[in-house]
Amino acid sequence: MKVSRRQFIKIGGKNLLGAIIIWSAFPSLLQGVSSPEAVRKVSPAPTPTQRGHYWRFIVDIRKCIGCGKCVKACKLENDVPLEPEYNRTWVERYVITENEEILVDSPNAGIDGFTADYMNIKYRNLDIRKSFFVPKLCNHCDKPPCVPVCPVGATYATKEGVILVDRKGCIGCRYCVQACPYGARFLDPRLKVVDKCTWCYHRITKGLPPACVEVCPVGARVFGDLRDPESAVSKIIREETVGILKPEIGCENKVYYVGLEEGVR
Amino acid sequence: MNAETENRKNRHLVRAGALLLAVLVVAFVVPRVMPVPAFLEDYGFYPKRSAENAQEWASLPIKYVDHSICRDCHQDNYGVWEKSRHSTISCESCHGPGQAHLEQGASLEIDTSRESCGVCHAQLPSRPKGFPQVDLAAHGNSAACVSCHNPHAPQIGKSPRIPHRLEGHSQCLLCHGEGGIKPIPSDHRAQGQDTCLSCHKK
Amino acid sequence: MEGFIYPNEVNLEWDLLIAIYPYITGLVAGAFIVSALYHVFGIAKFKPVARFSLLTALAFLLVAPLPLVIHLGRPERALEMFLRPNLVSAMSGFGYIWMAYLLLLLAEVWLVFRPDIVRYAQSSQGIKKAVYSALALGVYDISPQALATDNRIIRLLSLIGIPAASLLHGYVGFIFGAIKANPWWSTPLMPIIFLTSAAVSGIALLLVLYVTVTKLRKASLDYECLHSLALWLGGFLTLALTLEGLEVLSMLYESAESWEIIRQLITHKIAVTYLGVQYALGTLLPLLILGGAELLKRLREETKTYLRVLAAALILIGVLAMRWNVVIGGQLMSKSLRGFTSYVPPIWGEAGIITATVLMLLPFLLLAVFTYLIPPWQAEVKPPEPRKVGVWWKG
Repeated sequence: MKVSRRQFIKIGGKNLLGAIIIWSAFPSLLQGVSSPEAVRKVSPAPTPTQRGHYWRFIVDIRKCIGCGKCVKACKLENDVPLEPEYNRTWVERYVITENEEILVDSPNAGIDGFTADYMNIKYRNLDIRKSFFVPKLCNHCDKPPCVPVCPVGATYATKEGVILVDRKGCIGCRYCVQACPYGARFLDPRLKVVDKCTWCYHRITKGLPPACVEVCPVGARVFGDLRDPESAVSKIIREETVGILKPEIGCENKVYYVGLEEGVR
Repeated sequence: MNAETENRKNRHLVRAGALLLAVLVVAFVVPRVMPVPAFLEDYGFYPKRSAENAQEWASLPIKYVDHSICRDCHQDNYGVWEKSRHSTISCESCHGPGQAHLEQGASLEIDTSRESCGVCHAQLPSRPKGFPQVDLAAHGNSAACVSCHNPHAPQIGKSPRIPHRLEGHSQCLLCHGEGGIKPIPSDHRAQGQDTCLSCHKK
Repeated sequence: MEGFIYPNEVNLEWDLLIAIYPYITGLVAGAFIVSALYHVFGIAKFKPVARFSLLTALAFLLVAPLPLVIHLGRPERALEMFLRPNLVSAMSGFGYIWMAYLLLLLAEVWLVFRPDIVRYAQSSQGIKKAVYSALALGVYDISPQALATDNRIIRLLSLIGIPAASLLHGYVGFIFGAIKANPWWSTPLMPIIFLTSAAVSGIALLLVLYVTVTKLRKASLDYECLHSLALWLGGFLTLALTLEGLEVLSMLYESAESWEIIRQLITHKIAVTYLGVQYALGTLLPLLILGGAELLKRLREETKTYLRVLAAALILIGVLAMRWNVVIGGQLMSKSLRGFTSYVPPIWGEAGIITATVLMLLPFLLLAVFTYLIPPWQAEVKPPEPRKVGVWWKG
């Protein structure tokens, strides 16, 4: 069979073009899509071969006194900007009135506590049915909506399921900020990259609790390994009724709440 | 029509195709084959390395230390605190992060203001019911909380035994002044702080 | 700030620049649809604007990435989007889709205008000759056989261009529609809403531009073409209205947990731009005007033209308001569903009104350069004959 020059170029060109397209997409297919970090499935129950930590964070709403020490410790430990609009963790105050009204506030993200007069004037004449504090932080979801949306794969889940941001790779598009249902992400105004709670990754990998857990005076924040049956989180999960925020969104959060009230979101 | 003349006829398409190919190669193949010099990494050529990045996060310095280390130097306070109701509270919860104190001897926070205690103990409807709270405006006559309560081992609702020794109690009127726990009668002869000790000895 | 918002929600992250970005890509897709209606679907009445619409699409496509890059926290890293995209991200599609579409559009423009380019190259002197012969890639073959081959490729590219244009703009809708965290965005209708409004804005833009440029050239208007443009505009506008209305209507009817905050959003926070500009001024009024211009037989063609241009201009404002209402409106609302943040675009600065205005004027400047280099109005160059769909490139 004779192949003319034109046909040769045509066929060769087509194949080359196809090869280029596939080749150029392939590394990212390998790295971005199929890597366990990028699209992590929920791990099954621990098996003897599959050791390693499986972290859980528990917030006990019934214990929280709203002192805000966790917010302050987080900012100091992780060098988070001190302005109130940049937070890896914060504390909300819920006030439910006898008229079924739900009022929420978080003055300065709760870093100064809730005792200043200006924070309490508005509640002075209310008929309060109940009130409580709800500490918030990144839920390090097992199905994180923030991870797949990153156009450059700069945010990922580590082997233990901690969601981190690669600050050298983040381009600052903030799609992940939009995708997070919990408002846990923000753009660091100094580096112009996205920042979020790391569960104090530098502490938990050294066997220390996250800074917010360390300073909580009442034990309202508990952190530990679910694969260790003796850990405090394992005990609480066994003994208490726990819930997660916005379960209908289906993120499979790894921050559990004890004493979670209907209406908290 | 033979292939030779047809080829000449569509030379413009061949050239356009070649140009397209060149663009695609430059855009998609070259950056993947070319070794990336380090200075280009911040200009879009950053290789994805999440395992390394996790290591970077893990190697950040800690600032809040393990509080058991405080005992090495501060046995006295540590021993008192350890057995007290405040033993659930880590040292750095009130005194601030300790790493700089350990390494460079930087001074730690010692905040004895009423506000500092009030952050936890001022009365708020949102706090758990059983948690010890006081109305700061009505309690303690505006005195520093630490003049009665030892923050390392606080006691609730325990005034000094009666009659109590004067030793260690310098501000008589905190408790015995107007608005105190046990105010002196309004017709009491001397009202000034300085004069208490002239009659009341020991 | 009203009610409660999460502390990190104080700053609105996707600002004015991100609101004009879908506006620009929408104009690209819409302008391309007009050229495709001529090249692929054989709607001969669009012949006077077919070549112009291609240049319009190209001019806006070239500007489309600018607002995105300026908005990035780290614009110097923008190339990462091409070099290490995370393909499961809807946004990473931008790199590939934009690039592919740009190449496709460039190829089509080149083939459509090649006979002109070759003639200019042959007839001009000096630098001009160099520019045109470079544009012609040094090949001056405009024999009937060569042009016939070109025409077949043009139709093929147009055919591929329709899904490509749909993808280019549909994915922008998907970027918003697939965010389950935001009930104002999260709807599978979003890509289709974006597409129909894209067609609306593109046709409206061409109508305004065609009339303006023709008046400036002191040439005569093709009223048949205008009539067709107006009809298609009305059709797409009705479709857009239906879809956009349907979306809110089903939210109202379902009255899910998020409805209360959405109700406050559209009747209070963005009432002016939503009910006022997007619906009343940008949809209902133009529909009435367009309907009047088509139905009232007694109107002079001149009057009809003015009415159509007026309607199209209102529609262009309405679609811009729609982009604002989606992008900014969705972020005003807290994801706690308990309150609103506030946003007023600054005048100066990176994401200010001045920047946005310059970005919106840039495509018109490019378009002026294009029409100067390769005027799309020449009637004597025989444009490709419209044929039926399904032509394949085969010698």
